Amino acid sequence: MEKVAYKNIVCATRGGEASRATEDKAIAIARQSGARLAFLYVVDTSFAVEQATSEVELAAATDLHHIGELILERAQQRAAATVEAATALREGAVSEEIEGYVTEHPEVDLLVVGHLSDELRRHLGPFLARLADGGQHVLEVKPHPE
Amino acid sequence: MRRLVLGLLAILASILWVAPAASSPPTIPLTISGYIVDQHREPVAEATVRLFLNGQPQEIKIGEKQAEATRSLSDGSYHLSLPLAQAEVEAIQRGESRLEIEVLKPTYVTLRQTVPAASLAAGSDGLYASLDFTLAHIRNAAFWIATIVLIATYVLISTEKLHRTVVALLGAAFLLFVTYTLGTFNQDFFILSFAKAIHYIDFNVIFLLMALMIMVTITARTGVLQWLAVRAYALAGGNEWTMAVLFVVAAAVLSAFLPNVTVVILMVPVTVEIAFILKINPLPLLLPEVFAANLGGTATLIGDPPNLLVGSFANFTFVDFLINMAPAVVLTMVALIALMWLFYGRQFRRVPAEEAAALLAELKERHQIADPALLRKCLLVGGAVIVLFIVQGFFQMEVSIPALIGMAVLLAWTRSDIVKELEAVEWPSLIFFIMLFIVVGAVEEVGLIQALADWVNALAGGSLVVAILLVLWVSAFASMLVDNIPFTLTMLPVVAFLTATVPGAQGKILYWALAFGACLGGNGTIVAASANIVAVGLAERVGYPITFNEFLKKGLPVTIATLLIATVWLLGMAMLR
Repeated sequence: MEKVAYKNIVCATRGGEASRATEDKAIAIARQSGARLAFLYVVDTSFAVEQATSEVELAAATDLHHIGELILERAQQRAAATVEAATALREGAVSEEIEGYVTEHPEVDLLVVGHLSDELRRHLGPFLARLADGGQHVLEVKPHPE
Repeated sequence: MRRLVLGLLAILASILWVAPAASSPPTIPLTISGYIVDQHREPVAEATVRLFLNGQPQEIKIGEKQAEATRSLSDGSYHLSLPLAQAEVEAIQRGESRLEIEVLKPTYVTLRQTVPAASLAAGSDGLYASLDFTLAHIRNAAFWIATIVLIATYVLISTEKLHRTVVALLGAAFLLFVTYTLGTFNQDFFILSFAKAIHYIDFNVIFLLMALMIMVTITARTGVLQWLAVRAYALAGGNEWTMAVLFVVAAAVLSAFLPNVTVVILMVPVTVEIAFILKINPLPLLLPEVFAANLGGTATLIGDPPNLLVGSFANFTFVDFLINMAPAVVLTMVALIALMWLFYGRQFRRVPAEEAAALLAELKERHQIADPALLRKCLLVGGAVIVLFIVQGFFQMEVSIPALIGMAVLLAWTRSDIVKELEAVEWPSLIFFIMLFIVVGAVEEVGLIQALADWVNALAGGSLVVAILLVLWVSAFASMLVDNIPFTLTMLPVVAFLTATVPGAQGKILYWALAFGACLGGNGTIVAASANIVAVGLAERVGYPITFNEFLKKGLPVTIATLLIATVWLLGMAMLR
C-alpha cells in the first residue's frame, strides 16, 4: 500500500500507547508519498450519556476537548521531524465524525485508523466499504506488540 | 278516593304496629379479629376473610355495612362482626354449631379454621374471639411467572440486550398485566394487585435520589471537583506517588457524598490530563481512583445505591452508616493504597520542580471555580443537609426529607429554572428503581423470596458467622456479575428473615454484610459498577483501552483484600455484640 502515491492522508487517532503504531504508520506513508497529513481526534462522551446528567457530561466533554488538543499536539510533534501535519478535533460519535470529516474532505485518499473494536467496525464498516468502492484507501493498523 | 287513602293509611299503620312484634329476637354481636401472617411471620395483606356458620357462608358486618367478606390490612390484621341470636351463641358454646373462618389469597394455600368455642369471651357489648392464621405459599402459575420474569430481568440487564429501565418496565408491566387479565379468570395467575405494587415502591429512595441528583448537578456546575483534583496535585508538590495517594483519598471522600459516577466523570479527565502533560501512563492513577470511588461510596448511606436501599429498608440513619461502615472503609482505603504501591509503585517518580510548577500554573488557570457565589450557596446548603442527616435519627425523619428540603432551598436560593434543573434528574434511573421495586415485590408476593430465605437459612444452619460470611461474600461475587441494585433489592427481604431467625443477628448485622458485599463487589469486574464502565470508556477514548482481564487483574485483588477487611470487621462487630 505504501507504494501508492497518496496526496492527502488523514489519521484518526485516540492518543496513548494504543495509537502509537497508527500514528507512526501514517507519518511513514506521508513521508514516503510526500502527502499532506492530518491527525483527527474525536471527543466522544457517549460513555457518560447513560450514567450522568447532561451538565456533568458537558463538563467531561470540556476536559476531554483539552485532552484531545494535547493528543493532537503530541501527534503533530512526532510527525514534525519528517512531515508537517495538520490537526482536526471534532465532537460526537467517533464513527459519525470520522465519516463526517472524510466526507467533508473528498481530497482525502487514505484514511489510517487503529484497530477497530467490534462496535466501531459495525458502525464504520459500511462507510469504509463505500470509501474503498470509490477508490479511496483505508488502512487499519494493528497496535505495536507489547 | 278518601276511602282508598284511609285504607292505605290503615295498612301502613298495621305494618308499623306489627313490625316490632314480628322483629327477630335480640341479637348478640360477635366480633372476631386476628392476624394473618406467612410462614416467616410477615403480615399478609389483602387476604379475603369469610365467615361460615355450620358450613354456610354468613354475611358479616363491616362498620354499618353488610358484606360477604372482609380483607386483611397492611399489618395483616382483620376484623369482622356478626350479629348472632342467643340460641345460636348457646349452640356454638355447646359445640353443636360450628363457626369457621376461611382465609384465602392467591399464591397462598386457602385455610379454614374453626373458632374454638372456648375462645369466645363475653364483653360489655357482645362476644369476642381472636383467631390468627399462618398461611403457606403455593407454587402456582403466578409463582413461576414472577420467578421467570425476575430471572429474565437479571439476564437482560446483565447482557445489556435492552436498556435496564426498559427491562424493568417490561417486567413490572407484564406482571400487572397478567394479574389483571389471566388473574381475573383464574386466581392461580394473580401475582400482585396494583395497590400492592405501589406499596412495594420505596419513595424514600426515589425522593432521595431525585434530590441528590439536582443538588449534585448544581454543585458540579461550579467546577469544584476539578478544582479539588488540581489542589491535590498542588499538595503533592511534584511527587507522583503522593499525588496518586491524594487523588484516591479525594475520590473516596467525594464519593461518600456524591454519586461515584459523577466523581469519576469529573475527576478522571483532570487526572488523565495531568498524566498526559507529565508524559506518564494514566492507568496507575486512574484505576486506583475508580476503586477508591467505589470504596468511598460504601462509607455512607448516600454513597452508593445499595446503601440507600439497605438504609431505607432497615431504617438505618446516616450516623448508623458512619459508625458501622465508615471505619472499615478507612481500613479498606489503607489496603487499596498498599495494593496501589504493589501494582504501580515503581512507575511513580518525582517531577522536576520547574515542570511541576509549570503544570500547576496551567492546571490552575484551566480549572478555576466557575461560580464562587454559587459554590458558597451549595456548600452552605450541602453542609446543612449533612447536619440534618446526622440528626435525622433523633427526629425520626426519613433520610429523603433533609435531601428534599436541601434541594428545595437550593433551587429557590439560586433562583434556578426548575424546568431546566429537572432535566438534570436521571429519570430513566428513577423509573428503573420504581419498576424494579415492583418486580422484586412480585416475587416476594408469590413466595420466591421466602423460599430463597429458607434455603439461605438452611445453609447458614443457625450460625451467625456462617450467615455473615454467606451474605457478605455471595453478595460481593453476585455484584461482580449482575447489577447490584436488583440483587440488593432481592436480598433485603431474605436478610430480614435471617435477621429474625438466626440467633445473634437481631442487631441487624447481616444488613451491614449485605451493604459491604454489594458495594465492595463493585471493584471486581468492569461491569460490576457504573463508575468502572465510565472510567474504562474514558480511558479507551484517550488511547488506553482496558480489557476485562486487565481490569480483573487489578480489581479482583482489591475486592478480595477489602472483603477480607470487611469480614474481620463484621465478625468483630458480631463478637462485641
